[in-house]
Amino acid sequence: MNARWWIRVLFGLTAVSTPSCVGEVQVPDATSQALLAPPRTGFENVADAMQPSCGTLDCHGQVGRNMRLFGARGLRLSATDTSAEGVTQPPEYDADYWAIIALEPETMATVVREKGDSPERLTLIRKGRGTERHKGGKLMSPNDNLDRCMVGWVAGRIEVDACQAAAMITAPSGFVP
Amino acid sequence: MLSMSKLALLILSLPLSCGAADFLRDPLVSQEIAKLGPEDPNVPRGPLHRAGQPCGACHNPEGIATSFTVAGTVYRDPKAKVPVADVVVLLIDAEGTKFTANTNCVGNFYVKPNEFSMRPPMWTSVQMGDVPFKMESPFHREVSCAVCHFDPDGPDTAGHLFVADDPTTFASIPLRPCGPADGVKR
Repeated sequence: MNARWWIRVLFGLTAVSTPSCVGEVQVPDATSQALLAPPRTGFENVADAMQPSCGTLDCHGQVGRNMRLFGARGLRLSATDTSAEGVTQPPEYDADYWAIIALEPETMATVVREKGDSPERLTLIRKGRGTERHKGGKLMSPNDNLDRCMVGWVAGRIEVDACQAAAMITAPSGFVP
Repeated sequence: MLSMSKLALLILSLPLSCGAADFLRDPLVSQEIAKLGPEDPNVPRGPLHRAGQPCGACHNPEGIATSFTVAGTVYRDPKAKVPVADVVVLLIDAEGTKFTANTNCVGNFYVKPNEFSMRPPMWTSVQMGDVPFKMESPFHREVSCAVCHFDPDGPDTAGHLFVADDPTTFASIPLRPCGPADGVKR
């Protein structure tokens, strides 16, 4: 009865006891609706729209944020990139996507399942609209470009025009001295 | 004779007036202030001190010094940290309201809330000569330029603020020594 024998016994006991536990654990599978999320395809438009309003270095472009956003003029994912140059990279879009959908997975799943109905159930939308305390203030109003972009995304349809307009947020006239 | 409420106020104010209120402060803010390190003994507290450091660590509405809306230090070029005086810092907010501030001889500038209270997002440029150098992205809430602009540039910073990136241009930018006016508080 050496050590290898005991390991075999332990593995055997584990294998025998496992089936009795499986029935008590809800494992998401292909048919489960528990983790529904808005589409990753086309999300680049949404991330680009959020970047200048939400993802700057002084807001969610910081490692201390739960909703941590990466982007070319904000926080970079690669240690060799800088905030001063380059374009947003695919892994940064991936990281943004996961950061957002993981904020409130159950609520997000419900909103997605209900085709974007009552999106204000999401803290993401309430904070952006300024209807819930948000240190960054009110960044969008219902039906403006950024709002349409984000709400459209959770409803399963990406309004590319609205997203692109939100991404091009510009200074008021008079910025040129 | 003091009423009980006045006596309580007096007692509560004692530790504050003695500067022993650290225990009341957000520990993260305390850490931020501690990271600044000691003052340079050769530079008096005021507009010339702590150039390049995040001003908002102390100069914020809940801070231990006069509150600023925005403050920072501007250097001549992206490589060397050569401070530049008399740079015009233009700020414009979401409503199109503009404000300009000028850097002093150590490159510092600051804006107080009673001078300009901004509605975010804000845009900014620095200008020395004919051509403004504009920041590409807006900012929203940070008092200190140095929170996002520090060296070396990397994944969480664009590097220090500078007024020109063309060697010919920045070589022509005049530098001047500090004068008595530079250290005067507004």
